[in-house]
Amino acid sequence: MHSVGEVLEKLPPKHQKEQAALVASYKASYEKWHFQLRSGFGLLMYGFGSKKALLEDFATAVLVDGPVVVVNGYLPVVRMKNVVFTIASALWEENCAQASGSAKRRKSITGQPLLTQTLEDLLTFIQGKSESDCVYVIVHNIDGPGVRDDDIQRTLALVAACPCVRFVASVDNVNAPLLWDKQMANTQYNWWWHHTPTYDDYSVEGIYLPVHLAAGGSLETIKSASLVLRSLTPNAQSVFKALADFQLAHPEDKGLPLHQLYSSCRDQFLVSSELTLRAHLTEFKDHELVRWRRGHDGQDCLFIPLTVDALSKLLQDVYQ
Amino acid sequence: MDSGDDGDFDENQLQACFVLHRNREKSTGKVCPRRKSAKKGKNSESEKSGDVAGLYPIVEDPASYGALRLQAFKAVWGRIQKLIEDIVEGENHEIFSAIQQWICNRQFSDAQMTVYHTARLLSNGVDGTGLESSWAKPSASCGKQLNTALVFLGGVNPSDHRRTFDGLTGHLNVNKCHVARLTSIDFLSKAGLGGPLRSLFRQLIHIIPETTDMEILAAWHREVENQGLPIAIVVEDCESCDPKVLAEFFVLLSEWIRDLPIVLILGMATSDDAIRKLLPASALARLHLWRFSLKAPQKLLETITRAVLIESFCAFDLSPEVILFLYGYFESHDLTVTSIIRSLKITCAEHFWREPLSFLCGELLVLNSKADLEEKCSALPDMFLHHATQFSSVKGKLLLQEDEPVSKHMAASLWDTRSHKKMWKMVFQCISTLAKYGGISFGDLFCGVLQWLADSSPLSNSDQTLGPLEKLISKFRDMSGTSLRSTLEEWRKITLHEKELNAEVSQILTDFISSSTVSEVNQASNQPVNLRKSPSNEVEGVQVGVSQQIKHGVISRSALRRLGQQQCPGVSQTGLVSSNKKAEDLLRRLVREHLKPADSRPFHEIYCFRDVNSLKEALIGDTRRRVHMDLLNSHNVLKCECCPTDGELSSSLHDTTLAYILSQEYGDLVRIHNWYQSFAAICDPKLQGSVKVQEENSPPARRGRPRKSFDLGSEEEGSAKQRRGRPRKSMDAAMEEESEEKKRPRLSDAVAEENAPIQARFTRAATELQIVGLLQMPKKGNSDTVRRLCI
Repeated sequence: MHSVGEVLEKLPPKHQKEQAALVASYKASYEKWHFQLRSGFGLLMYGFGSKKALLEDFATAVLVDGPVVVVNGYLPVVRMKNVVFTIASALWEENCAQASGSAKRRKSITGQPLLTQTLEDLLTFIQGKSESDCVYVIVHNIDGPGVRDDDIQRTLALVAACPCVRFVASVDNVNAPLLWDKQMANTQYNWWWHHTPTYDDYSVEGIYLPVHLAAGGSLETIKSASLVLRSLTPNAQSVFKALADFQLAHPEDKGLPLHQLYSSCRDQFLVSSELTLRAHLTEFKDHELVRWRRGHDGQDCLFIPLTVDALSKLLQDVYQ
Repeated sequence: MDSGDDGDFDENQLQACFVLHRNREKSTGKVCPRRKSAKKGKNSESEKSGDVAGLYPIVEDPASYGALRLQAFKAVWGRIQKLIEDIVEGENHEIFSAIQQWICNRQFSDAQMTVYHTARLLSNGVDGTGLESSWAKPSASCGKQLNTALVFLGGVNPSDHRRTFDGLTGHLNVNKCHVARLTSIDFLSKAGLGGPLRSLFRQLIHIIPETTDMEILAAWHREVENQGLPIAIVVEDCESCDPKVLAEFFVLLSEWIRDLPIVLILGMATSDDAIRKLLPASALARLHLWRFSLKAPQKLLETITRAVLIESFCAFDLSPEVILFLYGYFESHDLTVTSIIRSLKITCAEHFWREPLSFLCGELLVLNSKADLEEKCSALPDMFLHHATQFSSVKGKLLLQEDEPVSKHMAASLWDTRSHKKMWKMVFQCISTLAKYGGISFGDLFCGVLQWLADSSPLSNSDQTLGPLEKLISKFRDMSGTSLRSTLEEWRKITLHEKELNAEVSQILTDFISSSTVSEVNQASNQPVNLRKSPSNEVEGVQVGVSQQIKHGVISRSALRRLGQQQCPGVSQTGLVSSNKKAEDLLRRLVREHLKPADSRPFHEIYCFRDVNSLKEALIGDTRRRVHMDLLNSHNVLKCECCPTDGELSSSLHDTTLAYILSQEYGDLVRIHNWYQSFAAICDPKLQGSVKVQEENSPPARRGRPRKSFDLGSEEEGSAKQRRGRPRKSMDAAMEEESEEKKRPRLSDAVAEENAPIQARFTRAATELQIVGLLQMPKKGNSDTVRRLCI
């Protein structure tokens, strides 16, 4: 049995030449887009087709006068603190590189952004930078599942409004403009809309979507689960592994009760409180990695809805 | 969708965030042409001083002038922005000062009250009359009322409000107030009272303490540098906050006003009643309300338009069509001044990018003489001069056939834009004075004039061609003497710097005054009055003179009788009529000569933006329509030769396009099976039979469901029944089913192999439609239909 991906790979591509010509036609606009960024606007690309390759090509070809930070909004989980920290670090490193030649400037470089700092502190650091210390931020699928949340959009808008940040994003969903109010769209993001259809496959953007119309074989499930697990934090991955190890060791059991999982994870210093564990479990449940069911003794147990073989293969894929 | 090979995706694609590359310009030591020219731009002072030939790098690539254009854009936009900021500040200054004064007065008043109550309490304590508690109670309740300014912002426009509060914060900071700004994000129910308090502490004390105890704020305020200064807490969008948290916050603050001089400033987007509806009576009782109102956005737009588009010279202009679009956008779409400013900036940026010679606007802004500009223009490389000759405004026109170089024509034309703008402004102001008497608002007049300019209709005396402007000018015919006189007097002030025109206006005014004096004298000496058809109100001009005569006691009773007769309809005066005619003719001439659209002059391409469509595209992302059209017209966008152009469906079409077009045949709900069948039939008609074979061989659970394609009502009904009837299939059930499936006799491998590519293509198309939001996948338990977004 072949997966959808394998079958599609074998198919001759349609309109390959025409698509390449269409994407190449946007190259003529690269300098214009750069001009618009330097004029203080944020670029928002929309239209049918994946714009991931287009934006990264634009960044590689033209956005060379500053560091470029890419955010993959199509992932199911995007942690804003990590994003803001990456931007702050890129700016700090940029300043250090600039100051390396000038002793005077080196003195002014203080306060390296740390992951232990609060989100507000990191934002303050970025907001304090001037227009000359520019950093480019590219957000693929700013309407994607990972960044669709109100709080994340607000934080992204705050980042976009910083004088040193030049913001480029893409949207695919036709209802994307509903994500922002006038204040965010017109003042903070300050969008300059660009209609750039590419007709390119949404091969990366669609990997986290459940395959409703394909045969629901275990092969697809393993791959989906593997992709979801890889996007999680190391701690979350380890919690999943603890549950998986138990399930492999006790294939006849209905699952692992929550308190046992908590004890096991706490012993391994994976979680410090039950609240943290529940947060991880919510994420697993959202992506259908774990399920609840009634155990032999009547208490609720957690289990991974995969066969032993599939689970072993998944662990092999992710943890090796 | 493709769950794909893991190897297909590099690690970066699975990371939420990564650095694509560092600053490559610095790391490679490469300096791109932009930087080179930018550095040149920075030395513009020395360039301006003399070395004209060295100003422009002689290069073949016009793109290398990007830095110059960016520099010119920044100069021009900087000027416009400064103008707008000054206007907004000026408009709000009065209110800001009033609020600041109110804070000072409240603080003083509170201090007085405290001294007064303390004195009374002390005296009562000494007397030992036992009245201490009865004094303490009223003072405590009085002291617990927070002084609160309700600032009515004139609309629900958060982007404008942010600008207003930026100004207010700046104003209060300058006047020694501690200011903390809170928004609705700080008043979320999930964060509770901790949200606003944390934000307050962060802004005032610059730390976030572990506990949000107001004692920390009080201790901070007792410090020497903070002591005595009022604390203004601004809640920008009061109506959007969670009412419970807001009420708790106000109650808490009111408990501390004896220790902290707190005043509240609440931004109100709606009406006076909103605060009463928002807060419970217990919280409302803690507030002592004062009201302040800002100007409506329409007024602000009017002031900005006057200043930016009419009265000042910014070396950048817009065609009437663009301004009309901006006005329409403001009135019907957005109604925020911020969006108008943003639109202006977009036009400016688009123009400076698009027009290679637009950097001359920057020169035009700073140069003081025409000779300097000529010098600059003559130093331009040939390719730019050639580019200038290709402008539609000059191509093939006589002026370029003369012996003089293009650069000279260009410089002269550019230099004249200043005087044109000045004359335009003057004529418009003359029309405005006339509009005042006609009761026409500024917006209507301005749009009317622009519409006329856009239509470029010639002025005519015939009734058939009366445009809005023509109607306005014809008001002179019906104008009273008083109105005419004051209009002419205003014109005289407006044209003060144009000697010839000013003399002309003065002459008409003098003629009018002298003729009205003569007529008064005639009336006074019982001379017959020239009776002509005219509206009754034209006698007003005469009344001024007559009233003066009455004052001096020189007018007879018969003259007064005649005056009474003149006030009847149909009575007029020759002098007045001729003055009216003269003024009308003058205005007509001025309009014909000077009120011309910005895009009608030679070389306007350098400083005038006219492309409304590009502005619309940049401003409004019409995602729904555009994505819908992308899918329906994919063959047009891709410009392929394989797809039919007559709208016929073909297997060569983009898979998602094909699936989308097919889904259009259904209503809200699309039955997946039927949809797939029609997709497969178009992709490969030969496979249609095998699809059926597969269907017949499918497991019994999936077989025998009602399949009524293209019948929305029954389809929905059927789906609902299935939803109710079928239990939710869990993942483990699916696993069991899968193992059972292995045991069943499988469909012939050949047929499956044949259908697999089409199924894969269909799956991909469905997933892509789901990503763009045109299709909603089924919820669990209803896997045979999908919901379609109807556009």
